[in-house]
Amino acid sequence: MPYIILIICLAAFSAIQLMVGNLPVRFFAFPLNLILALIWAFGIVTLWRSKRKSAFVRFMLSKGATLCAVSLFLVFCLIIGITGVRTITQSWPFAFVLLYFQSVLLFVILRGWRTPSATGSGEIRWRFILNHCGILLAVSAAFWGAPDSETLRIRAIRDVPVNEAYRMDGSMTMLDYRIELKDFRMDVYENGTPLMYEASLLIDGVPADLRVNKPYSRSVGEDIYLTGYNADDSSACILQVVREPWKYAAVAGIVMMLTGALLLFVAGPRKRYVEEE
Amino acid sequence: MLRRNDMGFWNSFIWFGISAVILSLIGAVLSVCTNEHLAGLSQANRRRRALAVFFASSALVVMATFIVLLWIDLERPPLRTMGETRLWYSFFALFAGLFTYLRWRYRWILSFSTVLATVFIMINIFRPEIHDQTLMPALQSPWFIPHVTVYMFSYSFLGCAFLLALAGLFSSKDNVMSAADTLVYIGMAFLTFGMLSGALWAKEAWGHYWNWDPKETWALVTWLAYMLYIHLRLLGSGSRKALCLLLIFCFICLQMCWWGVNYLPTAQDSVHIYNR
Repeated sequence: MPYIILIICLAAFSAIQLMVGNLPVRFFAFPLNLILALIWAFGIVTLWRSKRKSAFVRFMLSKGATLCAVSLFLVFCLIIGITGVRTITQSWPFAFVLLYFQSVLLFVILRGWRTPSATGSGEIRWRFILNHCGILLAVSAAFWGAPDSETLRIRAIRDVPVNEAYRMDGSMTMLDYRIELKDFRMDVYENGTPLMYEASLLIDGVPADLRVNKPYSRSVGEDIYLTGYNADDSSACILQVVREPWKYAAVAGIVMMLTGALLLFVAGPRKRYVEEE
Repeated sequence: MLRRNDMGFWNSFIWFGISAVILSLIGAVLSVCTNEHLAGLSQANRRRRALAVFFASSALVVMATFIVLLWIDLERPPLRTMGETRLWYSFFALFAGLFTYLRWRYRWILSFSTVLATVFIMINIFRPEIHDQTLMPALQSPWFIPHVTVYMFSYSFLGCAFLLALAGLFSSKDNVMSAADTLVYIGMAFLTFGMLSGALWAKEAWGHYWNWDPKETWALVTWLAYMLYIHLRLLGSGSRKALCLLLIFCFICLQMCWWGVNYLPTAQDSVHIYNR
């Protein structure tokens, strides 16, 4: 039965997709995304604490729910990988799969963060916590943080302070600060391919040197990147402003996953595997 | 474009490659000839095992020497082109085989890893990639070396797991699945290091941790497929045959991520193709 409900949900979200098109991501911008994320997390914790025996919670904690969550995520990634259609990530069914994936993860974390014991105070399972919470944080930061993420392009011109920036859809916006190109240097290999390019800028009067792999952090969650140049014209270059206020949660998740992976390498499979053979 | 005789030290790869294959092959034959059930008893078996380890290690040293000399010759880490990543893969495949042999004494594994390494060494001998010394600005980062080497390390362990899965389809006696599990855990740990170091690097170079670039998407597909395998094993689901087939599917995804993606029409706008 739960699988039928899961299929019905997927079908319903696919129908919504067909009727209204992609998810209006920007609509969920702060603070709505944060409010919804808190309601979602609070809802799951409440269900775990007070409705543990309900059919819904039992399903979310079943083998099948976990395997479905990983498989559905895998299937969607395969579709994106084969078709190359990145906008699938903004579709309703994909958003549903990600929400389901996160929900199963949170239920599993609540149940499994320490070994079961009669007294209720079992051993804390560090590897399990690091791996599962790490994935949950990284996926949640990407999922709930998407509406607040913004990428802008700006053409910096030598000795002219500018603040006109362009969104990815081509619409224009004004930055609340000005960027001025002071110098642009470029080294090339003998065959003409670029070895290094670097721009010296004044960002609201503050000097900053930008290179590829060396962005400038302007404020919390906002970084400026040197992304393009014109080989024949060193009087201008293309910069990219990336606003990603949820990036700190993503980094925390990534660091937890890296530590969890280290423990995966050090400790190897659970003993039970070997005993089963 | 450079002609083959312009490729400097790369030209001597044929000698290093063939030496490594021969040494590894001797090690593989010796290990197959060792009767493990008598290993603790027979002096001759112990000697054969020690010799197998010696020859397998020598093959590893030959490959390592070539990589170091090529690195010095190119004046940059040899990690950029497909040919260079195949070099690391051959090296780590030999390493993973030796590791598995030392750890579990699984006597066929050196033959598997020799076959795996030989295939990639032969491709590099017969179809060398164009090797030039240029390194585009995005690749000039401290993330470059760890990102690629951990991936190659992971691929070679997962390659051994794939070979065990193939063996597991036809044989049921050895404890193939538990050896495959350990290899998958090691491979998955390094796959995670590779994927996440890539995400951190992408943020630094292009501004976003994840951009659903074809290469990134296939990396995630591979990672999720192995995660599915690990969870099936943890939860005790799936028949032996289904699990072996899943491991084979995982390895196909891995090959898509490594080089197959370059041939997809969707990859033409990928930021991850450096050798066209």
